[in-house]
Amino acid sequence: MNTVLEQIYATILPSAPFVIAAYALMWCALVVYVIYMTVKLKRTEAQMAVMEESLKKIDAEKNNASDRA
Amino acid sequence: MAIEIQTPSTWQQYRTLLGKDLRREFRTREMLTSMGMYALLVLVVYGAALSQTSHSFDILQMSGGLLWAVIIFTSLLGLNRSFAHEKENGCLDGLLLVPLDRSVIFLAKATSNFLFMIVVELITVPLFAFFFLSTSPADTWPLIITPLLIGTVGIAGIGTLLSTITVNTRGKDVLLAVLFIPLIFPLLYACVSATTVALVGGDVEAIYMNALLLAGGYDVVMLLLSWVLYDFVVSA
Amino acid sequence: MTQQMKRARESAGARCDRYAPLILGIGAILSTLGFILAFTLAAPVNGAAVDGTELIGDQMVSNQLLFSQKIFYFHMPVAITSFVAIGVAAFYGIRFLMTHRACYDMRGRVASEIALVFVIMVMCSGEMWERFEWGVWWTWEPRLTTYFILMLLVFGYFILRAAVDDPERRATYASVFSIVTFVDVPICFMITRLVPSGVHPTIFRSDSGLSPDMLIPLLLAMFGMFCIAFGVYRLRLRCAQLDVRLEALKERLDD
Repeated sequence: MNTVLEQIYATILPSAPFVIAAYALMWCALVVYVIYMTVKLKRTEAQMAVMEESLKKIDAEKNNASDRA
Repeated sequence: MAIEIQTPSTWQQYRTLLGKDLRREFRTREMLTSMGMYALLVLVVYGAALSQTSHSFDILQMSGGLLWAVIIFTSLLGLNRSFAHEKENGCLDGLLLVPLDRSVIFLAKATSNFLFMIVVELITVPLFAFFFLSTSPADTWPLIITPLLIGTVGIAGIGTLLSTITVNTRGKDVLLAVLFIPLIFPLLYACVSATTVALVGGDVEAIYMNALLLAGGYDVVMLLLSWVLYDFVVSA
Repeated sequence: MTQQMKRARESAGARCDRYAPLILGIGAILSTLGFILAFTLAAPVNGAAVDGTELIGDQMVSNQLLFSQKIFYFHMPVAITSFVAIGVAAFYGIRFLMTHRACYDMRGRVASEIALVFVIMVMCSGEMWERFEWGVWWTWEPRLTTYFILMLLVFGYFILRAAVDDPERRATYASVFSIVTFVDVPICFMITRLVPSGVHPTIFRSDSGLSPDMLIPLLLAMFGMFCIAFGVYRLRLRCAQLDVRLEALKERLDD
């Protein structure tokens, strides 16, 4: 390549890692947030399951008590 | 026979509240002395920080910024103390029982904070000049009065709103600093540029008037917003 | 509130939730399209001049062609989206102060979380661009500084929320602070018109400095980001509502 073309394209290769890093970081931030949301959701669902278990137990006890009465 | 009850006007309420703050301060002089000592000690810290600079170092360029840094740190101290009193003695609850427009409390508090800050600045600025301005400033140095006034008005307004918020939280002082400094930053920037250009000289007109317009505009917006929002904050 | 109004409000929320994944998908497609077009359609911007002229394609080029400017096609839409998110948070702050209903406080908090994510995205991409273009990690340039202050304000919002225990008081203080944060947004936006700087030129002028082939990827990316923000907002809102229902259940179970 002649020198002018070299000069014209001189900044492209050095800038490529930064451009890739910029887009990758942006995408990573979004993904991290979505992962955080999912983790919280899973934890809430686990607690919901525990709630439902205890509710079932209380219902069973109430039924036993009313059966005996 | 109808009994006429005279409710005091807003101006009278304002005067009473302001008088209460000023009277308490003049009786104990507690806040002024602690703020004054604090400003002096910050200047001492500056002395240590600048001790290694060479003799040819032109401190006049930094002087505006250093002065405003002292003022900001001192005002953080003063704003916290002013509301700590109210909360300790239950004065704020008493005030909330009175059927008044709660924005008057904001005005009275902001004015008393403003007056205390002005007194402290009257002490600090000559001290600063005495300690650090060995090279005499430019002829336009009296012009620093206006940025000082405008900046202090803004600090008092925003600071009163924020200290009312943070006095009811955990980590009161630190939280005030965390919330206060970003909000005061545009005002600080404008006032530092106006003060520096007045002290250093140079192209005074353009930069000075622009900076003061920016600071004044920001002041007006923030004061109006604080006035309107204060009712919600103090009733919470 | 009448039964009819309640049902109408709930169905509005349900409709939003039904369309949220769809909108998220549309957003992803639009922003990917914008991303591809930014590299294929948009012409590279001219940088510093070089010594000679060359014929490339069908144009005479006598400047360096910049690749790093391609960051702009995502950097600006994300910045605009963060401003919009802060505006939405301030709107819900005002609604809460007017009505004192906890649902507005929850929406304000979720909108602020979205704003935080987008603010971090802007700072990351801006940091990479600055590092390459100007060789330094930071300058005290007007727009960078005001945007940094905006980021500190959003951090402060969450620190304030964490420091107050009583729910109603926390919601009031948070609403007031989000309204005050919104005052910084016009300053951020207009600062490049008031204080000229080398790094951030003004984009939306009447004689817009953007040619259509640059405008298209930008607008595509912007609408894509809006859709992504809205979709994520709705999803996060559902999570928050689920949390609230769980807490209510826990209280009842404790009795």
